[in-house]
Amino acid sequence: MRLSILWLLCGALLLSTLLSVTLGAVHLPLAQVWQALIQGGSDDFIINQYRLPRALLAILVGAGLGLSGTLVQGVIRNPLASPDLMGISAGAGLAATAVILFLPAAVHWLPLAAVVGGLGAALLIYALARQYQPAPARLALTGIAVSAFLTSLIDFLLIIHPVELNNALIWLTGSLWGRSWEQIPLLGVGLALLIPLAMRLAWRLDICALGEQSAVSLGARPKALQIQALLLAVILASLSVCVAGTISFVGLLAPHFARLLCGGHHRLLIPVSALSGALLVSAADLIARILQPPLELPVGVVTAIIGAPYFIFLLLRYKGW
Amino acid sequence: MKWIDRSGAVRAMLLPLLVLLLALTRPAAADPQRVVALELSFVDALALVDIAPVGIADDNQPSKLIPALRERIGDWQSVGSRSQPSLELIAELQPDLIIADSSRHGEIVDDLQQLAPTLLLPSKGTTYEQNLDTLQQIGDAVGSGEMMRARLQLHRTRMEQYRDTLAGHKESVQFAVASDKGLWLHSGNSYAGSLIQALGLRTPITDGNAQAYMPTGLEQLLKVNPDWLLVGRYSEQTLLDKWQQMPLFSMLTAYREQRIVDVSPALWSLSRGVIAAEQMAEQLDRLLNQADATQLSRAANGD
Amino acid sequence: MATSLPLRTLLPIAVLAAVLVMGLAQSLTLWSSFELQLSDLLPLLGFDTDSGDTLAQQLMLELRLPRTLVAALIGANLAVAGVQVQALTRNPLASPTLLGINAGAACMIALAMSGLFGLAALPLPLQALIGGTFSALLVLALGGYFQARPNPVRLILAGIAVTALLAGLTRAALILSEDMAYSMLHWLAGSLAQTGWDSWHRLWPFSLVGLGLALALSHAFNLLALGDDAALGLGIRIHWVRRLAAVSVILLCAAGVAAAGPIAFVGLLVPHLCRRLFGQDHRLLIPLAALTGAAFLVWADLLSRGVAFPAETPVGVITALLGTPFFILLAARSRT
Repeated sequence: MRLSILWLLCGALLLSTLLSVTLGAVHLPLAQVWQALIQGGSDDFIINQYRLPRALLAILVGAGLGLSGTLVQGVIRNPLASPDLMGISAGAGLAATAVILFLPAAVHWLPLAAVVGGLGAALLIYALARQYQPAPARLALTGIAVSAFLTSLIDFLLIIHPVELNNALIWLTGSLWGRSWEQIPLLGVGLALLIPLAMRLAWRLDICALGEQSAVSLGARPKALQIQALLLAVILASLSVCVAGTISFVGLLAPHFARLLCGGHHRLLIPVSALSGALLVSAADLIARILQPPLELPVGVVTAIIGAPYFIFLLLRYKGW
Repeated sequence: MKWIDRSGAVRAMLLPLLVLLLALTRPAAADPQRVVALELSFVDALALVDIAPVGIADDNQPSKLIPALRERIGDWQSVGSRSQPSLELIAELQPDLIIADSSRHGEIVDDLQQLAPTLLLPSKGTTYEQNLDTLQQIGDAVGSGEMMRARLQLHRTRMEQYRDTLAGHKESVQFAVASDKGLWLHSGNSYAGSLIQALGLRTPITDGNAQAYMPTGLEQLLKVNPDWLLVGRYSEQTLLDKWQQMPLFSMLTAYREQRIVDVSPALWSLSRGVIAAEQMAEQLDRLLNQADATQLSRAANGD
Repeated sequence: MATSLPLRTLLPIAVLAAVLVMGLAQSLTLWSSFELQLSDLLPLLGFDTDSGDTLAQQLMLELRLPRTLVAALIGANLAVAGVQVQALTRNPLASPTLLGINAGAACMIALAMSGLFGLAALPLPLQALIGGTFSALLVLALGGYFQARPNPVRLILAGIAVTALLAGLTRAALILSEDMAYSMLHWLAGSLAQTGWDSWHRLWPFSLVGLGLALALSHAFNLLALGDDAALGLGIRIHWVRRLAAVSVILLCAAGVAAAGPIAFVGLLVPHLCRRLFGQDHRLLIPLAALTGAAFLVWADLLSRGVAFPAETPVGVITALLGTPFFILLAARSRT
């Protein structure tokens, strides 16, 4: 039964990708789309250089964010925890904004800068968490405060550099516009390396969920695990952020969704949440493009508009207050 | 033996040179007919050489183009917003030349190049002189270099004439855009400000380091105190209307002399081109030289 | 009661009052392209001197004085709203921003700007007021605030969700109306630059009611801190306290947003600071938070004019830059 969920998600993802390639600002009949995919020709640009890489990128970005969210929630054991709420996305965003505005020539260093920014934010929150051992809600609030601070720094930078304003705003909301095959190797290789690493942590994350005492007695080393998992989470989130900007809610929703579908065991949770994240971003980007052509909304706006109400729905249904 | 080697070497060097020569004298590709302009200033430039672009990034609002331009170029296909034009629509138009804004479209230049040869030029935030510099490149790119040269010469002549008729005026002229959220003065580093200066008139803010568009409060406006205040309104009710209720406002020279004039923001702020510049110069001439023309008729405003 | 306060408490109060007064004075004259001096105001007070400059007088009275007063009042509003929110959620890290008032106001304005529903016809402050109130009520309803035993965590989560939704909508509207994005961003950061006597007259009635309510409820807040059951046992009608407090917070914050846009961190930082200085007694805490908040925002506004003179920086940016390092320091040192 559990495995069939994986297949179901893969099927949904395939459908979403097909729709992304078929639908867009320019109406192209199915036969033409098929022909362009195989042979190229006059529609080669629209299908193969614009829609296809974008659809694939949506999957990769979504998978990265979903996975990152699961790891963060697994470590902090808190349903509120997610990379964007904890300020990691904001940290990566701040570093990337600074590079875009002040060192536009160094665009190749963007991924590294984003990862460093994300790490910095994560360290800050981790340090605060260790200082005073807060309850989950408190930790989330700390993360939000740090995130708000970093976001206001970003806003400050934007105000003093108004020429770059619109592009930066769009990027900050999370957008896949203007992305192409160039960005795919980075994310593809990143995920290919990091997903197996995450799977290796799976059973230890399960054990840690039992509580620190039990974990230690069962041989898992919680502290080391926390650091490893958080590191992975930050790298995953930062890579996604540096490619597509800060897309909100995916890191929060994908793990929840996955938990709903298949329970709490990380061996299944990790791939399912990656697929859920991918599905979410892929569907969101599709909607963003076909809502009011030729104007495109940033995908981050659509994930917020989908994600927030769903989150509210979860809130209302939850009985464990 | 040595002689043969040397000639071999010379021939080896000549060959690539020959290839280069052949490449340069290859008959030029036919002049671009289907041009996509991703900024409004480029549309102005194209209209100068009688080219009607097939696609324009107009933020889905055709009214952003001034009527003079709309009349000259006829219909066009909108390709979306200036900051995020739709690559799909551009591709569908099958252009043979794309003109893009270097400050906005740097990221997608590679994608654009796949569709058509792309010219990347500054547009957003350019001054009058910077804009003029780009025009010859556009003229050459569409194969109308000579026509552009002639038109630019005509433009310079016209501007000389305007400079002459405005020669005696010492008053300062300030352009600003107003909305319900704020008032932005366009300094000497903006298109409007640099045009005013190019016509030999004074504009108050000439600090080289000043921002192009300065958000301003009433106190600052009182300090600047221009003789003429040209206002482009972006909303029905603006801050200026609110300030007019205050007795402080009567300290403004422009208010006392009834020299606050409404102008079209599309013309003065968005267009940035030769056709726009000539219209702006004509409006200035009318305002400053005709004592009773403190109101520009709606027709003159291009509505 | 004031005379029975220990020196330890009176001293900071005196300092704060002095800081506030100094801020008010400086705000009238500092950082102007004109030469403004307080002595220019003397003729108005009846002193017959020659040093009165009518332009200076006008500038100070028509522009700077209302701006300063509005800054002080909004600062007081936000601080007192912050105290109440922290008392209600029993969480010292909560702030009025959580209720989504700022996000709601911004969203309403952005939607109006993009031409939706013909909202643009309404004046800007009204748009902000309606948007802010709507979103606050939404957050309260979703957060189960009006139920028998509300859970603070649920309220916080609801706030996060609604704020994120509204922020997304705002960004979408901004991007679709590109030309005005810069003006909107300016407003979004919170600015006192365009406030005048009309803003003051729109502000003080709401503030009066809001602050009055807060003061009236201060004793109840003290009891609430002991826990819901204890408070009930001591005779507090919790439902009414919660409802009135919600009304007070919404009034205080929405009026502030309508006047000057969203200003963050005052409601988060000032209550914290005041608790450190003055303890947990709300009967003292609320008026003193008002005093501190007023002083804080007046000085922040001063700085916002000076940092990039003659250009103005939005005051919200200054409060954020000042506020958060402070806050992180405070949060890191708290031991509960």
